Amino acid sequence: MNTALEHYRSLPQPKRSQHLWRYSAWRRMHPTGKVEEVPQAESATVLLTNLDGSEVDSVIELRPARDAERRRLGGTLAEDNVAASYCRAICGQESLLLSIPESYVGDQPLAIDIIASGHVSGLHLLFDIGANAEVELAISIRGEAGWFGLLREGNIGENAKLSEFVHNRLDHTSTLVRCDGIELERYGRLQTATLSLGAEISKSDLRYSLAGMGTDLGVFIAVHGQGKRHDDHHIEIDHKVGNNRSQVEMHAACDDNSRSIGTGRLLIHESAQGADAGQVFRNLLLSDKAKADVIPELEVLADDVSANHGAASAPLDPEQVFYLQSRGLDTKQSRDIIVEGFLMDAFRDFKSPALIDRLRTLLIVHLDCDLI
Amino acid sequence: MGKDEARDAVGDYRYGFHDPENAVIRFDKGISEQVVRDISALKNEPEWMTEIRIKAYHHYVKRPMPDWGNMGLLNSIDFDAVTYFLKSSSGTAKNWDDVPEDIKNTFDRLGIPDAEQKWLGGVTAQYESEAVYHSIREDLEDQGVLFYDMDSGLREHEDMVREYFCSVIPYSDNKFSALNTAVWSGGSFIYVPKGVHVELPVQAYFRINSENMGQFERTLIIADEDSSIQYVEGCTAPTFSTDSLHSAVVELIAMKGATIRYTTIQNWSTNVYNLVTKRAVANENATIEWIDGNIGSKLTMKYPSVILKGEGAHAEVISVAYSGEGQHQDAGSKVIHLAANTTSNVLSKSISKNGGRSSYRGLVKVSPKAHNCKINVVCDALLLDEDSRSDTYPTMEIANSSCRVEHEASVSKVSGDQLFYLMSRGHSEAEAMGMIINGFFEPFTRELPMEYAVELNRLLEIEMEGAIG
Repeated sequence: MNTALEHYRSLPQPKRSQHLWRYSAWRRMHPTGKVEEVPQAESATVLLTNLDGSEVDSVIELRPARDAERRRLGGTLAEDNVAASYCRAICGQESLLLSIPESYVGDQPLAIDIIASGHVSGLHLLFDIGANAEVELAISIRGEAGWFGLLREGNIGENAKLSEFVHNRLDHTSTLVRCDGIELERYGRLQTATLSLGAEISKSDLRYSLAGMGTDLGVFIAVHGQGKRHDDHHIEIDHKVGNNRSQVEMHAACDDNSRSIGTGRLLIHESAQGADAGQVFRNLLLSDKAKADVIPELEVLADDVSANHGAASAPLDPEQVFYLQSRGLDTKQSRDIIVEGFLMDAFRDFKSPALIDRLRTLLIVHLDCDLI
Repeated sequence: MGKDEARDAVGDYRYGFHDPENAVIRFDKGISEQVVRDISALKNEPEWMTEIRIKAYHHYVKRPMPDWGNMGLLNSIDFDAVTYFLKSSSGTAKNWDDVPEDIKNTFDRLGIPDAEQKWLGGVTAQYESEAVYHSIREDLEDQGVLFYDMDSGLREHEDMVREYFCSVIPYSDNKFSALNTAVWSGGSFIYVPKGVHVELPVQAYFRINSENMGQFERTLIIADEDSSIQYVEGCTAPTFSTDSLHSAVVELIAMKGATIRYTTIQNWSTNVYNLVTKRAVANENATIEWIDGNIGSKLTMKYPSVILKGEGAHAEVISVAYSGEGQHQDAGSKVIHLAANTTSNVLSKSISKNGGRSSYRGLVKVSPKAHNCKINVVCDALLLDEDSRSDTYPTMEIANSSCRVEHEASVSKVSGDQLFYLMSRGHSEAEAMGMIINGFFEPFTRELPMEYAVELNRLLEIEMEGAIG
């Protein structure tokens, strides 16, 4: 029995009083519902190319991680994190490492294509972004796995910059459990966008540690709920030292019987004077049976900070629909264009034109509308 | 005791004095089924009330402590060290002259009889477990307004109490509502008949005098159709080295078109655990207003709630909290929209200083049938030093697509620009800070009766002494 498995089984089951598990109980997220079970998982297929499909620069590596690398990069999520611990257990000792060397500056975005198949599938992906490197990355998650666990851990080196998006387009019957634990070193910058469109049940636990001063983090999330989709995002940002900035912008458009959940936790430590942190959650409710739940938490222990959050829920604005219809669009086109605008607005501060273009295309294809 | 000694004993808390204890009846410390039965027997209560108390007691014993909030402080409460019933007077007087001298002196020092003459429609003064004084203006009595201490209310209007008691907050709601239901004593019972508007506020004043005392008052207010009432409560306690417990339950019922405004100035000493459950039901076009000020106590956990049950009902919650050294104000509000065209406004403001901790914990819930409702929640927090802490935990659960919800919160320190501006106009730094703080709390103080607003500003001035440098 591997130690990760033993560790998972030793953890107490999370309580519903924790906001992280309030709306998506771990039992419901688990592949079998019997939380003590850890079934055999298939490894996901992972392909690395440039975004245009060409081969990547030879200095960039995507390879199995060595033990020392796993120890160095794989401990960013707390030991008592049940979902992360479960993902570690099903992945065993297999981890992939994306290594970007120091001072590397990419001239075009990279693309990682993750294909999950089988009853249960898992992937432990480690990042090591070297100091002063700058890289853009598009990650796509697809496939027909019944259950897919994605654990991403890593480090953004000093003065390094990573701009990435994760596009979830798993099969509409799948369950996705995603755990991110990323640490930013001094002056490290991370822009991370998520376009969540696939999987019937999706639970993302995204945690960022601003461990060095001068770090800059942007977390941008767009969710489109259709059918019975249940999409739960938890974003936790830990301002450990001073003069850091973080921003969370989550937009969810919920249709049919879908439900979106956004819980945020901004923790500003006593030592993080000068922090500037904000989180905004917006929901657009498109049907009578759609639901949206939001818990944006702030815990502030330093006084010289600017910390704020906002949340809003509203229906489609009939005036906007009327305006578009008066320009010749039918009801569906009008509605789609508003949804597209609302979801893309989550990415307005995401400063990567190439990735934004790709995100917009993906969203339009998903909405199946004639907006181009 | 000289002035200086008194000051040393109570610090800046001006209500920290206490009288020698002259109990008429005092129960042994700790709680058991027998204690619950004895309280009920002593009050000669009907059987149904005794049964509810016993059920509530067993629920209290079974129910675990909350596993959220400040669990460190919650778990440090020694429930076996608490005195659950202490009677200081042989009865409830209708005239201050009939109140025992030492107790009357206490309320004189708190300014209650004076306030009653000037601007109140009725007063209940509770000392330890029971009301020692109770009065209502004759004109209100003539209009059919019922205003009793809760024990008398149960005796005189049993049917009405039976109908509404535990109807808004069942004993099984939480551990502390169960505890209150088991050992409740005192509080207010008010019924306002149809169409009657009680122009002057009625007031209840709660005073704990003894060490390790538990006060468990129970308040029930029913405003019949198209009526209105404003109820004001204040609370203080002496400063002891050991802790006391205050765990009240307040139920409000506003019938069609009625308005209830419930104002609290909580100024317990910093050795009191204040764990209170307050909830209101607003029927069609009714309005509930919770105006809630939390200045004192060691730990407050209080989330005044409104269930908007009837179409067009409205909720207004304005709360302020001040947390000083060793204090944790865990306050907030809950608004549950069950009907269409309901609206709610929540405004919460807090200041933390000298290592104090303020938490806003709120819930906005919109049910699938609550079409076209509008909700606005604003939380602002000021941190005055690097040792203090501020948290916000707002929860929004929206299950109707036609409603509009807005929430915003911010945490910051006092703006250097504002201080600089005021100081450039000739104010000292301390004066400038005082003006900014008063301005910060102004949305709350402007809703208070004038006398309370003046008193609150005075209290804040005392608390803010030394905030600069």
